[in-house]
Amino acid sequence: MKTRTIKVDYLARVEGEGALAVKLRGDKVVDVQLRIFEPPRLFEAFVRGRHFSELPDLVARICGICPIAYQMCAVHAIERAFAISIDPTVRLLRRLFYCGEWIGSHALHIYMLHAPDFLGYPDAIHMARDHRSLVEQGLRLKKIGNRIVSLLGGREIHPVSATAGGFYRVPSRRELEALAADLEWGLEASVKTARFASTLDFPDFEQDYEFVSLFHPLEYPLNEGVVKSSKGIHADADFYDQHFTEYQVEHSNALHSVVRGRGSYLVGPLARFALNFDRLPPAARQVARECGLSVPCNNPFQSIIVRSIELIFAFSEALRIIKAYHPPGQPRVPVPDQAGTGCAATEAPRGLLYHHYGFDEGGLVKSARIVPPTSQNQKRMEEDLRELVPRLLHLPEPEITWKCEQAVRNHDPCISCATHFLQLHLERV
Amino acid sequence: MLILGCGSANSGDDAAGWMVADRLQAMGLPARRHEGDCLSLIDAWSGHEEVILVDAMASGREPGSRVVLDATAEPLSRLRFPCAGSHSFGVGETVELARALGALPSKLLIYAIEGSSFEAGSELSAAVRKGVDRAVHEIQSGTGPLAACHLRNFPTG
Repeated sequence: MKTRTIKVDYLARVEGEGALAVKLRGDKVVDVQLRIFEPPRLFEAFVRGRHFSELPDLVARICGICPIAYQMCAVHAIERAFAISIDPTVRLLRRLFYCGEWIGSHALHIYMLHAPDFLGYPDAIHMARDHRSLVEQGLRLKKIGNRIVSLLGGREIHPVSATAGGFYRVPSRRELEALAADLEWGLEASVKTARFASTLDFPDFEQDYEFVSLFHPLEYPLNEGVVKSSKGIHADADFYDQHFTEYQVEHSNALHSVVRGRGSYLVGPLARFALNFDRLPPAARQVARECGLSVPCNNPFQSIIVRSIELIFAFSEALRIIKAYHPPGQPRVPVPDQAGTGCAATEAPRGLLYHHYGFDEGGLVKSARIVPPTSQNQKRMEEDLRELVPRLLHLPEPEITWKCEQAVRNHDPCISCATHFLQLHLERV
Repeated sequence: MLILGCGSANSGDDAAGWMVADRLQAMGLPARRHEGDCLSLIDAWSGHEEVILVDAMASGREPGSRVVLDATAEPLSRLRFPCAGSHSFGVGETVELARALGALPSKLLIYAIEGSSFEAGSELSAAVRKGVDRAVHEIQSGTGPLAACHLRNFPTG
């Protein structure tokens, strides 16, 4: 029987370096490999022996797009290890900080990385020639996210203000109020973004996902909550390892992750939306319904609409926080050196992020484990492709390749984080 | 006129653009480091008619050598910048996106210095240190390849 391989040698519009190989025997997919060849960066090894106070700035270097996620996970894990309680206003500022990162990351993905797939352009540069106002809107939204991150973190990339116990510096009320006009504009623009996204053409591609995200009884989750799945998991982050396990595969420098005894699962906007829809602001729920989203949304191509709904949430939440803001009495509480172990899970823009650390009596890191969202989604992305490719085989190969890349981009993978993508190889054997 | 230095600390020769910007700023010229992601360059040069962007490159040339390109006149595809930026948006892509959006300055010169090592934690190489010296001299005096670039508001006036 004739066999062939579809290959994408270098995945475009994803963060980091990876490739994709699909092996076919006749019309049957016999193998799918998301090959992550970006070299391992060994962050978990090189933070060992460093003082806990250095951790937030070190782990921020894992990603240029989502440094806040890494910082927040680290500070929460330290605080859990040492039983530190933070000021409630600091908690709100951390949510605002996270909103800034979600806004920047989602606006970049929706407009610059994902929209060209739907509108038939190889990239945002070509799209900008025909859809100038669309690209300008995306850039302006992203800029607002960057502005929040700069204000709270001291700079746009790899911010430096977050620390265990709080922030080195907190903004004045006036500094936050100065964001209000941009946030009001952004809220309106994100509603338009969702309406635009809902007009795109989506293939009929419903998948049976096990969604995994944080769940909080009162709020759409950012940096607190229990780990929940759509198939029954409901556990504090302390019990993460009882439910999930990682293993190595030959074709990837990033570990694969599965639910123990079951298999692949999906983290990210679709998972958060499925498990936390009721805690979205009413306006976001209303727009989601108007855009025709079902809850849960099982079509990964529609993640562009779900990200837009999360943009509405992030702008609404940022506005709520700055309107109620009065600076805390002290920007941070002291965190003494001590021994302990602690873990935390937070919601990076791409999904659940888990950190676990052990510290010696001097506060030095003895052990570290970091499980990024893209790493957790690898197996599920391969399964999406197994389902998708047989439906594409009547198409010319360049089109199959395009659709496969798009299917990967549906999940906004961040390979740089995970190695700690895309070349496509379609092989017919 | 604005001089923007792109780069990062602690990645060897990638610091070249920042070092040039720091030294020109200390001389009183309108120069500054660009610290955001590459896409935010479009905001950084907004409102400026003439911009010189200084960055390290990895094109296989002799370390420390330089190329000056008029980005308003030609696409940047023939150079490779070491810091590709996030999700495929590096300096080259950002310039082309700005061109498509009509958001380029009237004159955008790219002053690129060839690096030899971009290893995390490494220092600026000796060859690039000399390249930085030459860039500072050529930009502040309008000499070398810049002499032919016809800048109307040149720093030295």
